[in-house]
Amino acid sequence: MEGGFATYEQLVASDYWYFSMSLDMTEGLLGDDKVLYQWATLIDQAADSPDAPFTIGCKRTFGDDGTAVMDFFAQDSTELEALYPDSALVTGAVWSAQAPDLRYEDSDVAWVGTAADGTGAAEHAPAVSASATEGNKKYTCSLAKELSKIGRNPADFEKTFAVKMGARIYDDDSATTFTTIPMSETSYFLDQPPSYATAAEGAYALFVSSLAALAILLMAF
Amino acid sequence: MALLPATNSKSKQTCVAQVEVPPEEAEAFFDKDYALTVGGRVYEAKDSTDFTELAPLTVTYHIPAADFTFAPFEDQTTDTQILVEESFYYGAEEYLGVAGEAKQSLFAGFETQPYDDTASDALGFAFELLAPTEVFTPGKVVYQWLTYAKADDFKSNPASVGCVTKVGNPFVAEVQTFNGTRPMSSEGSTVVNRTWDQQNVEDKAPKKDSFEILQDLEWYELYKENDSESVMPCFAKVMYDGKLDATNPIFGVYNVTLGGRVYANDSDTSPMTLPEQSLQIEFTQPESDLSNVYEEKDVPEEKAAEVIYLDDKFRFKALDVWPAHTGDEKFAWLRVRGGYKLYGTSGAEDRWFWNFGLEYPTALVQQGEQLFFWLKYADDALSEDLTGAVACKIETGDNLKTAVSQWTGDVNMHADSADVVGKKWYKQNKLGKMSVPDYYALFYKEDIFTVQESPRTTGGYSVQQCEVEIKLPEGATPDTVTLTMETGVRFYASNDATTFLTTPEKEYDWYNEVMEFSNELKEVAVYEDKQPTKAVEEAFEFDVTNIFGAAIAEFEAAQQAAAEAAAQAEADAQAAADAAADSSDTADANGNMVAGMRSRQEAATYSAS
Repeated sequence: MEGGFATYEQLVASDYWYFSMSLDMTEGLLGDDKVLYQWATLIDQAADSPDAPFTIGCKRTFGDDGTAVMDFFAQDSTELEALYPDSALVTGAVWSAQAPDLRYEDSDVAWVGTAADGTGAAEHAPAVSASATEGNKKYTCSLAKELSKIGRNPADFEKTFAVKMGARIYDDDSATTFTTIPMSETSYFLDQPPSYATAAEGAYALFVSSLAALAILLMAF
Repeated sequence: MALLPATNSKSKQTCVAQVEVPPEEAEAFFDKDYALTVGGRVYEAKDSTDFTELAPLTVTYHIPAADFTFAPFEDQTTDTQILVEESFYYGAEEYLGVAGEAKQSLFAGFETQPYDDTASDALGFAFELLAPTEVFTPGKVVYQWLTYAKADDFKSNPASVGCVTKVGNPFVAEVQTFNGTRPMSSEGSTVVNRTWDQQNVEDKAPKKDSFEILQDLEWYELYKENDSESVMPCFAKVMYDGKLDATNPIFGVYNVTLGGRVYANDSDTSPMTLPEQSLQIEFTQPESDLSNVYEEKDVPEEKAAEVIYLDDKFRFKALDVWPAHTGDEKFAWLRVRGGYKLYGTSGAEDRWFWNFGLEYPTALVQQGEQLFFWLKYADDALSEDLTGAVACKIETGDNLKTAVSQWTGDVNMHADSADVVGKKWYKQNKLGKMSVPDYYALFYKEDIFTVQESPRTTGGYSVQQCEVEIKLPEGATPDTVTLTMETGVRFYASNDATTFLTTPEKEYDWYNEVMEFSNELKEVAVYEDKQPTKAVEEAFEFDVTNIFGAAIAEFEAAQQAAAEAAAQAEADAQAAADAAADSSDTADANGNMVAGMRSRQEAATYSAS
């Protein structure tokens, strides 16, 4: 799992919170048409008025590195396990029909996947590093959430989420049974997005460091 | 409350309790049978616990039905185009007998509905008397008046309007109209030494030519301006027969005299009198294209930016609001968008707008239904400037029946509020409601205010929006502020309905930074030169042999078969080559084949993360 921000210079260009989930496994072990569905449930740990928990899901096939279908599920505190592999809302359903009453349509959320033309999360999430294991490949699926600069509420950040994540492998889009990749658990601190460092700021920083170096040289003499 | 004489040299003690029944609540109390039990206790002393119990008496009685009916509610949206706004200041001690300042204001203008050919224009006068709150004790009668005469017409009689409000009882407000030369002045022979309702009766105009009151109580009810001052408003309106065209004789310059009196009660004949003021008003034809009134039409496109600042969408189950819904559409959405309209030219005023949107199953859209969108905002301190509510009401299918309401202060807008339950949409929450909201609706924009088909691909959905906006005075809000917001929508079957359906009501934050126009806002977003910042990278290892056992076996078999096939092919090729070449090269070729097999086997260790 990798997560972070992609920031852009323009005021009117939104920044993005990207979230990449990868399954690093032997390349070619599974057929290209098999469906890899990776998901992560994020639970705000704030003691007072926590945000509602949610799950982001990302679907791809093993043979298509360029497309990522995004799922967003809104939950409440009684539905934290809705997307877990043994959930009744998951078992016996095709991947696209999981927890249908919790699932939001794409137009209702700020999260995006990657379309076949490459637009979407792939534009914003940096490429993940190659697998360190010889013969393996990272089957990555990236999602990104739009963070408008205008109207951004600082209170939406500096939140710690408990993250439960897992993956399922389906034979194809119509399969209702799946192979479960074991769940993992971690935490994620969503910081304030960094400001975009402009070229002018970089030049200023270089100027300052040059001055500092010059000062040290002068002091040495 | 004192003892009163009774028969047989006895005395009697009476006690009267009364409660005001507002007309709109009369139905709940009147035309009903009541059983009333009266009892009493006579205590030995004020602090005594010893008393004599009087025998209780039960009587039954019937309260008859109210002898009035309400006029139909006028819900046609009209645009008020103010032509004059004048205020006059006085020392309150001199004229009203209470230390402090006083101010009388007059607003005059037309009300028009240019988008409905059948809607008549109206002329309105709004009066306001601001004075120390002590001036306005319950029962006093505030009489504000004006006389107007066309400056170049020396033949016609002047007309006068008296606007009467009683402190504490907005229901008895009254508007009087006079045609004649008798002055409205306090020294006038037909005014002096008369009660307010007897003055100038000689010139009183017939009802058909008279100004009328409005249905909105806010215009006739005292409200607090600040901790020490209050304002008594009053509105007089006269409807014309149709629209006023350019040739209508009403247009022109008028000489106007404005005055006011405060009577101690209905029988008072020596009121406190405000000094008379003279002014001129020019009545001009109302603007028929409201975009010229409400929009900054002179700002070039490159100097205007509309910026969405807040966009929250709340999903709820359709059955939670409409239990009888049987369609396939399971959900509905309430959307609240707020934003700026910013202008980069001098003289143009920036705006803030709230756009409310309801996306719901098309099968549930009912023409004529009243949708009441409301939004409450409050800062942590519930400060006066940053706490209030705004509502946008629209009739489904008729954008000309849009209404905007606004409240100041901490008003409970929830559906279970006592000031909402059982009341018509326009009667709820009287306290804090502004007679003239600062927000207004550009209801003539049909792309916003009419029902639109939703672009949603699943199910049949429609979208009804209602939008209000406000001009932003410079420095009106602090640079940054965080407000707690609440939003909901209520559905009333008609203007007379006192029951309603409601969406779930949502709470969320609004963080606002004051914005100004900048050329940056006109740029097209370009997603190049991103700066990625990785915050988290974690890997979780697991054993794949149990998970992919079958796949691994298949994979290995396939790999083995492929390797063998490749080796066989290579061997066949080698044999063919051997037949044609020198046999001394054979040892090197076998070495390459073996190395190839080993590499594939090493790859098949199957780690995963």
